[in-house]
Amino acid sequence: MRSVGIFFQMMSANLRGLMSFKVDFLVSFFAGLLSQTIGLLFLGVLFGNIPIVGGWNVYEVAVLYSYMFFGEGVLTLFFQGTNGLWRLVRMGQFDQFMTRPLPITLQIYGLNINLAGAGTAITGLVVMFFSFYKLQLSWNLLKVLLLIVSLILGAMIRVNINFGSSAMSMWLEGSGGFKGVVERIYEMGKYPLDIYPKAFRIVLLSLIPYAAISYVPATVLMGKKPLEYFLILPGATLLCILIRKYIFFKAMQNYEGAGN
Amino acid sequence: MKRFLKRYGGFTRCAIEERMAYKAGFLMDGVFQLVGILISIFIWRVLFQEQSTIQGYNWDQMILYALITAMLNATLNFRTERGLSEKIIDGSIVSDLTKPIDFQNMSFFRALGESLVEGGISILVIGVTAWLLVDLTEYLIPVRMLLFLVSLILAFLLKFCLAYMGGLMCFYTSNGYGVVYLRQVITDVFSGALLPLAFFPGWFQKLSGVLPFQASVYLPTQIFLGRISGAEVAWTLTLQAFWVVAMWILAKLLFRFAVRKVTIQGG
Repeated sequence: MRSVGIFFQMMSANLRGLMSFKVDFLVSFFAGLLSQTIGLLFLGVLFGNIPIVGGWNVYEVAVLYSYMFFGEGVLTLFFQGTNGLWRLVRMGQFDQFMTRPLPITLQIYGLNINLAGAGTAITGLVVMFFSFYKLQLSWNLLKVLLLIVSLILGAMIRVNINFGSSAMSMWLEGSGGFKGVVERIYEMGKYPLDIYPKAFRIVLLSLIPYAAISYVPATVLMGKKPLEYFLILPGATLLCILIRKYIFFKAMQNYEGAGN
Repeated sequence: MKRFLKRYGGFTRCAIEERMAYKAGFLMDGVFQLVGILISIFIWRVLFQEQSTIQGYNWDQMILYALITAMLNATLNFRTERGLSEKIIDGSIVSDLTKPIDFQNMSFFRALGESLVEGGISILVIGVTAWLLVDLTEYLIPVRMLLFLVSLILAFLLKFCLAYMGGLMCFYTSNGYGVVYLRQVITDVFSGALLPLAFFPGWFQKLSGVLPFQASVYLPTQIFLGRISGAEVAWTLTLQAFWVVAMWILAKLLFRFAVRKVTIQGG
């Protein structure tokens, strides 16, 4: 609980820092809104030519997009620190975390705030609600609950994948290469899982569970899959956290510092 | 000419060495591109299960289109622009401005070095993928390949000018992200990097026809695929050359104008 308090204190300090540059504050927010435009345009133009792709219409795929946007937004907004971990190591700035009387993970989480994330997350929610409206789904209390839970767990998965791959980069080579690849795989979460070969499907549901963020809850909410299918999401979240913890532990054990 | 090359060639060599320094990162770059290519192949595969041509492209042509645009996108990517905008934002551009060299030429030769490395990886990854997926004999006609190469070089020059001008915008705002995103949205959409221009509505195709962006991606792909031939190719290359010259001059003017705005934070 104390950690949560400290996290919010760090965030508010970051926010105050950011607010002192008024124009930048706004530009960053709009950059976030803009950053997802390319993806949405691709979707819109593609489906303008072919209305149904493999049994999915444009709004159904848009729901997958929106889940990915939301997770990405939360990550960028509050957990920006997990992004540049390998850069901190290379620049020799990581050592300072070890000298402070706070959990290292917490310090990494609270490192930075980026308003672009708010833009991205809002884009995600707008796209999501618009698509739900167009799809004319029937809602009940359970589904609303599942929606909220899936957004939270999805964001947790996104943050942990990012943290894990960043820690892996710091452990392996001190460059962002590995993280870049995992970042690229993120794009796979935006499309129905059925389009990928089996090996990819397994990885996307377990080791790098991007599909658990989007495809799993979306198919349950849209009635394409039975309710039990939803259970993959908490399972993947747990696995993801454990893997991240292990990688970070290993990374810390192997950490030698970049200086001298 | 020799002195010119000697003066600027160093920047190219330097950029190549910087890029090659991290061996593992080098390998990862290849994997990075492969993942991107795989995603688009998976999407097109589903689309072509239900129809044999989409907007006049068959499976082979669509895959080649996607591969060539991926190669062009990887060859001069956002990193070049980020490098420039970071220089402007953190103020280290000052040390370049005091050197007795032309800033635009210097940036170009640096970008050339970076692109040779990235382009090298990308040609390897994409070449192998294309060879595995498509029967290339129909496309690898010597004359056409030569024209394609000329078109690629012109496209590269134009891409540099566009990215460079995007970077210069950072003289006006210190938010590099916003500028890079905005430029990317515009170029990706109008150049045909997102989807072939034939997928867009008629008015959009007319609009992109009079803008420079299509000359940086769309036109080279059309030459490679043999969708334009004969006199049209000559016209296409001329158009590309025109845009390169026009944008190079525009960038020069923009720099002269923008550099007066230079505000360096701190110090």
